[in-house]
Amino acid sequence: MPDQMVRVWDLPLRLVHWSLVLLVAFQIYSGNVGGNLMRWHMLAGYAILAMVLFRLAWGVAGSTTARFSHFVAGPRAALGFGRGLLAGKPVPHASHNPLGAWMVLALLAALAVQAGSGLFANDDISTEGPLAALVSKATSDRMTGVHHRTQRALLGLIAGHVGAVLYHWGALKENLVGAMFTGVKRLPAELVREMAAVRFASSWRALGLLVAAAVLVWLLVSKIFLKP
Amino acid sequence: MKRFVKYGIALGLTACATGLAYAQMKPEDAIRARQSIMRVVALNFGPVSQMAQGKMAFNKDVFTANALRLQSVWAMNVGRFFPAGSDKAVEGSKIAGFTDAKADIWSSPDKFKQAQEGLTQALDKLAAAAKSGDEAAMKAAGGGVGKACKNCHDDFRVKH
Repeated sequence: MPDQMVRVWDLPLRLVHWSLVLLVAFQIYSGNVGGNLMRWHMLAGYAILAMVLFRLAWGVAGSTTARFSHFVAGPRAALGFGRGLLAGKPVPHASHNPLGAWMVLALLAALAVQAGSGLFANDDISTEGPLAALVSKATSDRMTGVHHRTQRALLGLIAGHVGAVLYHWGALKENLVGAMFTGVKRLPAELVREMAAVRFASSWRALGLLVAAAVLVWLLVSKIFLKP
Repeated sequence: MKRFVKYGIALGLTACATGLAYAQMKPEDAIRARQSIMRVVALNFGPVSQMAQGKMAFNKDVFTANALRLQSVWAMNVGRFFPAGSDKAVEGSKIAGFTDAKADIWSSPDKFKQAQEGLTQALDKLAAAAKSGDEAAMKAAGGGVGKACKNCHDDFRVKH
């Protein structure tokens, strides 16, 4: 049986992925330019936090290919996959491969730390995170330090992520970028059979989870929990 | 003529004393002075920035008053309060217990001066915009001041 084009990524996952790309690009720009953009830097930070929360929930209650239990594998699997990758013969995976899975987790963790530390950070000019006033200046300064260092870590992770995708594209002739746009990936026959067991969750459920995440973030940054 | 000489000598002595006072400025006093100026700058810039970003209702009078005050506070020339030896917090001092000044202030004095000049220009623009009364120009100039602050902080202030 020849390779087939099979749907692997659901729409909400793709939308959130590309939204994060745009938002993170804007954050790097606005954070480094400052000035009146800082207000938008904060709002975009809230949006990123909500999307990370959504992705975590989607990793538990979303489509099969989005679930952590489906694609996260141990270090041995990652190592084995890496060896195959270096040999130019990676074992194909419908969802994230074992190395990519760790990258997904690392990127989500870095984004969560980045958005979380931003809530407590200050720039000693005129901008501070919505929760900065709840902690001491020293703690807020420490969080600012975390925010600066995590930015660099995030840039490194993004470079690794993009580099890996380019490697798949150039050396292995696997178009992962296209798959992230269309949701459809070219898969060998044995994976096509495996994909028959994949269930796609409804976009309405995704919308519900995203709204819930947004409300959670809004409750957090509006500090409503502090009011009697 | 006699009186002229007398006043001349007095003036000269005052100038020397002032010069000497700055030359001999203790690190503790310098740190206190520059941090005080920065605090007043921040105090005045806060509302300007909040209004410029639409986080606070725009009030032309408050904006203008703060803009002009920023210009005169900055005219105090904070740059002179970075004498050699004031790069580290004074141990045991209650008023100079920390400083975020970076060594680059003393290793690249020209660049440091330029960065301060950047804020001087941004504040001139802010004052001019305030006098013109054009709200959009005022807000844009407010953002420019924030960028000038950041520009200097990025290079000369310890990043946490």
